[in-house]
Amino acid sequence: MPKKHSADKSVVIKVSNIHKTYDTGFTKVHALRGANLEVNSMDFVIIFGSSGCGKSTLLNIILGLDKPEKGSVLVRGENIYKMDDDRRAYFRSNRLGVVYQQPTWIKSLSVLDNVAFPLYLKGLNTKSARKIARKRLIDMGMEEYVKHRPVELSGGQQQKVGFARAIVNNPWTILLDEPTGNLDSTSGDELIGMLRDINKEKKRTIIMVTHNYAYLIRATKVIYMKDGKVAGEYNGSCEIQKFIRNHVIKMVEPTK
Amino acid sequence: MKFGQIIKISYKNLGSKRTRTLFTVFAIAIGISAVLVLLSIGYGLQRLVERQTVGLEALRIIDVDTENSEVIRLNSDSVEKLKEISGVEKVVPQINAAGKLYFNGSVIDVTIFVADQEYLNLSYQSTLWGDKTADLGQNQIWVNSVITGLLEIDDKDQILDKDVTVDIIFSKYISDDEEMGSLYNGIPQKIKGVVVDQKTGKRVPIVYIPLDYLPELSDKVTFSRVKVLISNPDNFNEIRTKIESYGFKTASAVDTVGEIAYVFSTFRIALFVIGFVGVTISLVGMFNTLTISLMDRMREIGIMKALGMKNNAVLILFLTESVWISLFGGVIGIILSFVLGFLIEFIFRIISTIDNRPIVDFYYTPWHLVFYTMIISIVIGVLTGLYPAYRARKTRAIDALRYA
Repeated sequence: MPKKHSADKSVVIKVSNIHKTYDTGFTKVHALRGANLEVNSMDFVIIFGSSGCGKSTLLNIILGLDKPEKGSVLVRGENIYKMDDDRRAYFRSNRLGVVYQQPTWIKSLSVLDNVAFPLYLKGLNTKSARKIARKRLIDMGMEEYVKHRPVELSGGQQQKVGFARAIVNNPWTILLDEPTGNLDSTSGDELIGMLRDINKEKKRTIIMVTHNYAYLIRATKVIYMKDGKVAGEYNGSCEIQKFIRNHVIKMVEPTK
Repeated sequence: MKFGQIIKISYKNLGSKRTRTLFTVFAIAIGISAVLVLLSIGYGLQRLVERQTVGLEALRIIDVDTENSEVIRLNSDSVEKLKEISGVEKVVPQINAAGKLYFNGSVIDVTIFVADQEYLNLSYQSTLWGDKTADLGQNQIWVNSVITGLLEIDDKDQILDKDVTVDIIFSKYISDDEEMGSLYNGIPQKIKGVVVDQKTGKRVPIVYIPLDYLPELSDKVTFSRVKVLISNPDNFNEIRTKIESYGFKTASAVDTVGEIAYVFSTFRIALFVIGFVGVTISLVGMFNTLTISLMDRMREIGIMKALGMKNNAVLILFLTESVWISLFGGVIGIILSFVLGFLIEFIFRIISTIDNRPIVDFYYTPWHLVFYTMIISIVIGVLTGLYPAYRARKTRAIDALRYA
C-alpha cells in the first residue's frame, strides 16, 4: 500500500490522479489509470515495474512532454500543464534535466556543444556555455572527447555525456528513463554511482525509471507501478529491502 | 537561445549530410544561373540595340519643332529663348528645304538640311567617308549615302572634294521672301563627307549645308527643327517640360529607348519564365531534401524540444538551413552565370574574329540584377523551407522522440 512521505522534506513534485490513454488506431491503451505520486526534495526516486506498466509515460508527463487527459502535475506548486508550450519549454530548460535509455544527439555538433546546448537554450553566450560544459565533461572524465561527435563514442561514454548534458544547468530535478538499459553492468553501476553522488553531494532530486531491481537498493524511495497505477510506495532502505524480499524476488524467480 | 547560435547550428547541420547538401546547392545554382544567363542576354541585347539605334550622346538631345503650326514659329527669337533655359548646353537650328543637286551631268532631287555644322555631330549618324569634326569652309557640304548610291559611287575619291551645284527651294512656310528662291540657286559646292543613311522608312537623298555660310537666312526664316543639347541627362525631363511649356513639340531618342526598353522588358519576362522552369525543378529537389532531412532528424527535434527549445526557435532553425542552401545556391549560381557569360562572349568573339565581322557585345549583367537575384534566393529559401520548418515546429517532442 502507498505510504505517506516523510514530513521533514518539502514536496517538489506532486502528481495527482493522472489518466493517459493512447489510441493506436486499432485499440485504445490505458497507459495510466489514476496515478498518484509525491516526490520530496533531495529524494532519489526509482519508478519500478514491468514493461508496459506506464512508468515511462509517467516520467514524460512529469517532464511536461505528454499532456494527460486528466489529473495535474505540480512542480514546486506550479501546475505545468496550465503553462503554454513555450513557458513549459523554458521551465524544462531551467529546472529539469533528462537522460534517455538511447541518448539522442544533435548529430552535427561536437560532444562539447551537445552538452552546452541546454545552456544555449538558457541564453548563455557560446563561450560561457562551453566553459561550463567542459567543466562538467571533465568531472565525468570525458575531457579528451570534447571535440568528438557523440555517435563516435561507446554506449557507456555516450550515456556519461548524456548525463553531463542533463546536469549542465544545475537543474532542480534530474529525470532518467532506463538510463542503464543499454549499458553493461560496470557502466551501469558507474552511472548509478554518479547519480548517488549528485543526489547526496549536490542535493539534487533524482527520478529514475528502471525495470532493473538491482538498483532499487540505491534509492531513497521506490514507486512500484502496475497496470497504469502506483501499486506501492516504499520509503527508506528498510521498506525498500522488504519490498525487494517480498515482491521483487518472487517476480523474477520464475525466470531464473 | 541567441539567433547567432541558431545560425551557427543550422550551418553545421548542412555539413552533417555534405553530399546531399552539395547536390541540392548545385541544383539551385544551375537554376539560378540559367535565369541569370538568359536575363543577361536579354539586357545585353537591349543595350546593343539601344547603342546601335541611338548611341549614348543621342540621349542628351531633344528635337524641337512646331509641327507646321501657323501660330507658333521657331525663329531666331525662339532659339534665344531656348538657349536661356537652365541646363541647355547648345541650341542648333535646322531648315528643311527641297532642292536639286547637279553632279557630273546628273541631277538628283534632294532634301536639304541647312543647319549649324554642329547638327551633323548631334545627328546620330555614322560617317561613311570624311571627318565630321573637321570645320566646314564656305560652300562645303555633306551628303548622305543615298546620294552616293544614286550616283553609283563606291569610292570616296570619286566624290570627296568634287564640285557640285545645289539649288535650294524654300517653301512659303519657311520664308515669305520671294527673292530667296533665286538667291540660293546654282551655288557651287564641294562635298566634304558622306554620312550613312539611317535606313529607316523611305530612303531620302539628303544634302547638309552649314547655316554659318548662309548667315542672312537666320533672321528671315522659320526653322523646321531645333536640336537642343542638354548638359546633364538627369535634367532631361525637366528641360523637356520647359520647352513644351513654350508650345513646341519635342521628340528624342529617349522615346525610342523607352520603346526598346518596353519591348525588351516583355522579352525578358519570357526569358525569365523559361529560366524559372529550371529553378522550379531545383526547388522541388530542395524541398525534397529538406523534407527528408526533417524525417532523418525527427529524434533530434524531439531531444531539442525535450531539453527546452521553444517551437519558434525550431522553426527558425529549419528555415535558416533552407536559407543557407538557397543563399549558397544563389552565390554559386551568380558566379556560374558570370563564368558562362564570359565563355559565351569569348566564343562569339572568336567566331567574329574568324569571320572578320565586328565584335558584338550582347551579354550584360546589371548589378541590380545580381542584387535582386540574391534577394530572390533568400525569398525562395524561406518559401521552400516554410513547410518542413512548420512541420518541425508543430511536431510534439514526445512523438518525435518515439519516431523510429
